[in-house]
Amino acid sequence: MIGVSNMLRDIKIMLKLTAVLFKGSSYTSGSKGNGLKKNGNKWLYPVLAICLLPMLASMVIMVVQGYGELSAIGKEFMIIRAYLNISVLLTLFMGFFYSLSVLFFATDNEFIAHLPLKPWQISGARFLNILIYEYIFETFVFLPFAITYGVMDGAGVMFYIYSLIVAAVLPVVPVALMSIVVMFIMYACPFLKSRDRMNVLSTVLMLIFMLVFYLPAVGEMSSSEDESVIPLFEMLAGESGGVGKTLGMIVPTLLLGLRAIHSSGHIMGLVYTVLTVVVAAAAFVLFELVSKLIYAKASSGITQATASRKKLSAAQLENGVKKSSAIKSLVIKEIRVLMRTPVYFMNCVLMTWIWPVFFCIGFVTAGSMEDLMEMVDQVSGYVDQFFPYILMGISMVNAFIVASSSPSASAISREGTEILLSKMLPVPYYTQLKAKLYSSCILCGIPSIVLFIALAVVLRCSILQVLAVVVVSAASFFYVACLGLLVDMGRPKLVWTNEEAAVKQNINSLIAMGLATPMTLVVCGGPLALSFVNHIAATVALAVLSVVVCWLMLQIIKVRADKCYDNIQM
Amino acid sequence: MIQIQNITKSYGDFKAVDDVSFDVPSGRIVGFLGPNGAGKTTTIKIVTGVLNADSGNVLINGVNNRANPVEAKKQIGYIPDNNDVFLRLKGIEYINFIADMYGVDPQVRKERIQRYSHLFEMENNLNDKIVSYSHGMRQKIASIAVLVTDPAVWILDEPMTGLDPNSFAKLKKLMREQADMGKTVFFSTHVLDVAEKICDDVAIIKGGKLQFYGTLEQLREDVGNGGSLEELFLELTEADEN
Repeated sequence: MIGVSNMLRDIKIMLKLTAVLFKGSSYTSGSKGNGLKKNGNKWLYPVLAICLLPMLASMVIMVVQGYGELSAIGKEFMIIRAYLNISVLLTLFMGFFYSLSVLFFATDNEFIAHLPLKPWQISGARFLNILIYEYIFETFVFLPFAITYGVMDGAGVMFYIYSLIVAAVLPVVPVALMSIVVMFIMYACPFLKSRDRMNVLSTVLMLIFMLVFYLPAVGEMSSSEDESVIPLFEMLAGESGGVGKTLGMIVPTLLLGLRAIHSSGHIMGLVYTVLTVVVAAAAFVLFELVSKLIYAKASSGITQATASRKKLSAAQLENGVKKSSAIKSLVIKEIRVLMRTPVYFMNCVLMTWIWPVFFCIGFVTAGSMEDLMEMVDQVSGYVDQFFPYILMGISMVNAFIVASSSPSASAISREGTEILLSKMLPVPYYTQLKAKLYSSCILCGIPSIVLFIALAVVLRCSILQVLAVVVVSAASFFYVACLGLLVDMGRPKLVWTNEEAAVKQNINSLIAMGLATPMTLVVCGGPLALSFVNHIAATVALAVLSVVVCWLMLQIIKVRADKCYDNIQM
Repeated sequence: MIQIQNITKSYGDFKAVDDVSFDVPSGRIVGFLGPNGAGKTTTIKIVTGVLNADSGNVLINGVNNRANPVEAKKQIGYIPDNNDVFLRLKGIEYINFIADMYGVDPQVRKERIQRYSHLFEMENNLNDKIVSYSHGMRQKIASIAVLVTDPAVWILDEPMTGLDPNSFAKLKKLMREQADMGKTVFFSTHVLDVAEKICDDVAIIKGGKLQFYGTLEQLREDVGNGGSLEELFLELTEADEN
């Protein structure tokens, strides 16, 4: 009796620790001071909800369309199978990164280690934290699929109850598996115990994963002749074996859960549901057993970065003391910080590098070389006719790219308390802001601009047209980056506990994203009207107007620079 | 020389610095003492131009730090109490960055980097990122960066925190050398023994108000106690409470 009571007390402590860890995590801790938290949170959730609406709507439409087509051939349950496969696949994928982050690289590890807690309570609380993150993520996948399917199918209450239980239990096995894998990796590979090194490796893994799953998806879509969604659902449901079958073997709760939902109208539904819960509980116990054996050793010796402790060679010293102008030195510093801080790199740089790659993959895999050449021939024939609109399209695409992951919209926020040292530098604030802009444009603008130029060359544009593409793409990138910087100048989020909070929980990027498209539309509005009269005049007008807007934005930044820094009093 | 003229700074209803005036002359080391929350760091931030005073002026070698901030900052070398800055830069990159900001000649900066990195035993760490440094090493790299710019006015906020005794002794020696060269050295500290040993003058602040400015001898005369600086400090700062 005493044993049970002690166990319950220990579990209660573990749950309390779970809540404390979750509240203090980088995903939930916000900024303090500057009055930003209050204002930021007030708008954050409505803005996020609005941003997510199109995604949710497209998923609902896909399920409705899929249900219509699949029910006609009696295969509508494939939708649930597809949902569960996607859910498990994403949980495995995210679970790897969450496990790394929560089990090994959480900044509160050193504080927790000193508390009088049993090791299983710490690992259990960390496990539950990973699970909570998975639930947050899963909600966005689960809700549209299951609810839309249930409504379309006229499903009973038991369908929703079993679906909910399965959704709650389903991530347990993948998270346990990934946590165990991560523990073994960290146990066996001491050289990975550097946060920065592991972050870089994780990013590479993530990219490989995205490419591995993007390529077949693109191939599947492009090979599909009609507009039916059946091939897509067949692929996601793993009808022809492949990933779906393998997932079922790795995660037994996938098949059990599937059967539980499928049999929701019968007693077997209850049996499968209970079995799903039992297997999940066993996976948790297995996780605890493994963590008892190796977690402590695997998590010891974690550092932020490794050091070589080697003296500079004469050549390195000579190279290291080269003199640069203040602006060049500031730009280099910004680029180094962006490139070397994994969180900044992934959130502010990587996406602007990846999208041209994905575009090229989509382009190349669209068909055979002959098809491709035929398409190029066809499109190049229309270039002259539609050139001003192509330029406007470039401006819009740039607005989207810059705004969605703009380094400039968090350029001041990322400095955090470091801004005090920046304020101490004997360099005008305007120069410091220009350096932030230039570094943003160099890092993130060049891949897009190069892609546009390459496209212009492939489509056999004239020299003047290529020049116009260079001017418009560079200018549109620049003025949207200026817009992001102006937003951050107005309300920098300087008080944060970790680098993730500086960019991921910074509403300035969302505001910049919201303003970028209308701004670009305004810039394109005049030339668009002019294009109905004369294409050359419209092209020249767009190029000139884009450059003028850049100049205007710089002037606004110049005027507001001192005030912006003066307002930062911390 | 630093001239602090009637500076006041409030945060809401709380007056962090209340009409403080004093001069830090060239060629002297002035220690800035006070209990926690007395207003030391706020005053230093106002002097360096990081914070704006609500009223009053600060002149750095005659240059008003609000009217001509860039010129004023060029004369200041500042070592903050928190050196967790530019952590992703390597030590050598950080020093070179600061040298670029102050326009230090490449040959001069190379010679100074070699001298001071050797002095602080940081030669084997210059090629590592600052994020891998200990607190003391971060303090040392900040000190080297300031020394490379050879500022006319040296301002240090709690410079001894985290330094090992050896480096601490070297820093004290450097502070004395800078003052002897006619430069201004102004630093805040809680370590009264240190202040007693190296300061020419002390400024004592409490509750945002300047309680005393002068030499230790003047302090002894004013307080009427022939004891150590610690005893004088306690007598002065606890006088209102008793």
